[in-house]
Amino acid sequence: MSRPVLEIKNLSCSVDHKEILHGINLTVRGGEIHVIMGPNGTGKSTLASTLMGHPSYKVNGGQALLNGEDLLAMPVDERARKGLFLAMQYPAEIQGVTNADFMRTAMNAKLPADHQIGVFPFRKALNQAVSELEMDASLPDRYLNEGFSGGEKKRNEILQMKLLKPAVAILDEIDSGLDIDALRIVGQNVTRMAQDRGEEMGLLLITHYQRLLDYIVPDYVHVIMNGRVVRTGDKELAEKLERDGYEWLRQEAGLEAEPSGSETAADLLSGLPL
Amino acid sequence: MRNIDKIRTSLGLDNIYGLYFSHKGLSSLMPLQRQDRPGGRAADPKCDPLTASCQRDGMSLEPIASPEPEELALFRPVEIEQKKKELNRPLPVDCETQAYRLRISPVGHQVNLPVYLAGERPAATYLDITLEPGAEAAITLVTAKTEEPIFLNISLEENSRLDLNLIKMPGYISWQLLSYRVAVATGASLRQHAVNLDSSVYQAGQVFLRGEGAEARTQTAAFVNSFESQRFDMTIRHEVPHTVSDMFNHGVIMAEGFGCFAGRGVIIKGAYGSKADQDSRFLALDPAAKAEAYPVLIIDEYDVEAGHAGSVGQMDAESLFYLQSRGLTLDEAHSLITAGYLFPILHDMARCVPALKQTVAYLQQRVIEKVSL
Ligand SMILES: Nc1ncnc2c1ncn2[C@@H]1O[C@H](COP(=O)(O)OP(=O)(O)OP(=O)(O)O)[C@@H](O)[C@H]1O
Ligand SMILES: [Mg+2]
Repeated sequence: MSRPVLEIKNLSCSVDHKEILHGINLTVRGGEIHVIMGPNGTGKSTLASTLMGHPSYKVNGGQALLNGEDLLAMPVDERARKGLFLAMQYPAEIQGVTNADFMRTAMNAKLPADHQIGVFPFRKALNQAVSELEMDASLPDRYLNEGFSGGEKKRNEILQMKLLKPAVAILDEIDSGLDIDALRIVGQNVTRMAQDRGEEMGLLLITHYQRLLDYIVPDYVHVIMNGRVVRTGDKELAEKLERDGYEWLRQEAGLEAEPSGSETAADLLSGLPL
Repeated sequence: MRNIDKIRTSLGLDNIYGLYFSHKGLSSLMPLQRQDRPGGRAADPKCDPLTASCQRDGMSLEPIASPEPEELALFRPVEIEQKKKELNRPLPVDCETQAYRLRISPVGHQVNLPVYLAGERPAATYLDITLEPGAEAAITLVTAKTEEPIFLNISLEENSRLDLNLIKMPGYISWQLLSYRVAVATGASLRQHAVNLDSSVYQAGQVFLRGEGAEARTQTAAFVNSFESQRFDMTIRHEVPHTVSDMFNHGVIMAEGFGCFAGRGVIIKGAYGSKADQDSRFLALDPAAKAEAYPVLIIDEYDVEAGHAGSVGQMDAESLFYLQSRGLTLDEAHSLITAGYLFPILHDMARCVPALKQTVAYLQQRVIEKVSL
């Protein structure tokens, strides 16, 4: 497998006719670990969803290339089969479909018809991943995410990542909802996977807290504010943000405070007969 | 191969006890274990219904006089006259009735009793079933080609437990009226699983919780194909304190199909401490699908817990996105979600009656075939 590269060039996009991302530039190569931080509502999940192809997000300009191919022109499932993976902030619950059946279907979707994984090798790989993530042994046979606790859902996303072996994985707030032990287990599993796969996999983590970075050491830390990357640094930047918050960056970048909710004060006022 | 053998083989119902109806009517009640039927043939039609083996297993079956018309009228859903007009053809609901009585006494093990109703029976079937105090049984009714109505009058005496499985054999297209009434005594419980994947049906259930601690749990899975009509009426009456009911219905509807879940939970005055829940949902696969899910609760008592949900919806976009983001094509994601809509009921049926595992596997396979078209 060659070294993958995800290039995001001047990407802007909107949801509900409102532009959220205004020109994002970012390149993630195999073997690199990137972290995105930023205040609530600045567009981190929007970036992740747009790259994966969520139908609610409309691309207004710019490019996203995976190994030189136009990602944005592909349907969602093709992006996945080309090696993109998104661990979602809020994974969907799907009744009636067992976790194991789903996982095997997903693995086979990436394999050619004459090389489908058999039931026994699949179960072996699944059981091993379940035990490495210290998950309850019954989870594979339960319905996909249905009734899973917040932390179980997050671990289940990592379980899928382990089995699907993506070229570029985006993990959106994989640490939220995890207890202290689960954070360590997930962190160590991600790090081990990154080490084992080396240049075959690039990682893009979205997080609010520095503590995840005690387990997964990043090469780059980017801060997104108001739909733009306003600063790139290394682990020390994350530590400074943890200590000092975002205000200093906001001032440096000359940004207004983030509008709370979807409308700005000006939007609200413009509708009134003043 | 004869119908009945085909059904038995498909459903994997070989090694269990059978109450076997042929096209001539009821023929026997005897074990249908493979070793008893060399060559895989059906039970001997000349066999005396009351065989020694039946008695050994605590069951008895006898023909009885047909119930009076007033009695039978209780089984006829009110809307049936309207149904006749809708379909614009006579329905075989007014035909002559053949009646049988089945008693099941407590035995050390659970009895699984598949009742096959196949071929053209000459008349409606009326089965009067009693589970004696403490008895436990699973009765699986498999209908195939038959159009004549089926009436089940069931009495669950103290602390008895019945698993009632109503399966329409996939691949047989015939309009079917199936109506049952169940009286549930103190400490007794009814679990009903109904699966109808092909053909139009009118299924009506009336459950009367008559003793404290009585319970009824019903689940229905319906796959309504194009131009079919499936209607499920279920009424559960809580007549005494501390009774529990739970209805769970899921249906999938194709273009031009019609589906209806009409669930009524009634808690009468004095039935305090009772609990009634229902959840009826349809997944419409096409804008031209018609569905109704109206859960109704009629409560005349304060100290009760009751909940109801009903919906007719389209496929959830977030679920589709999630599955596609793992590499499944849109079609694969569609199929998986659609099948998953019905599977919880099938899985629960296999969990409640392990002898039906193979039957359930077959039904699951049929669902998968339907949703991958
Ligand atoms: N599907 C949607 N419909 C409407 N508005 C949306 C949608 N998705 C995102 N938004 C809006 O876009 C903005 C950015 O949201 P996004 O989820 O990307 O933020 P985030 O940076 O991930 O925040 P958080 O840290 O809270 O997860 C918010 O104002 C949000 O309300
Ligand atoms: Mg987010």
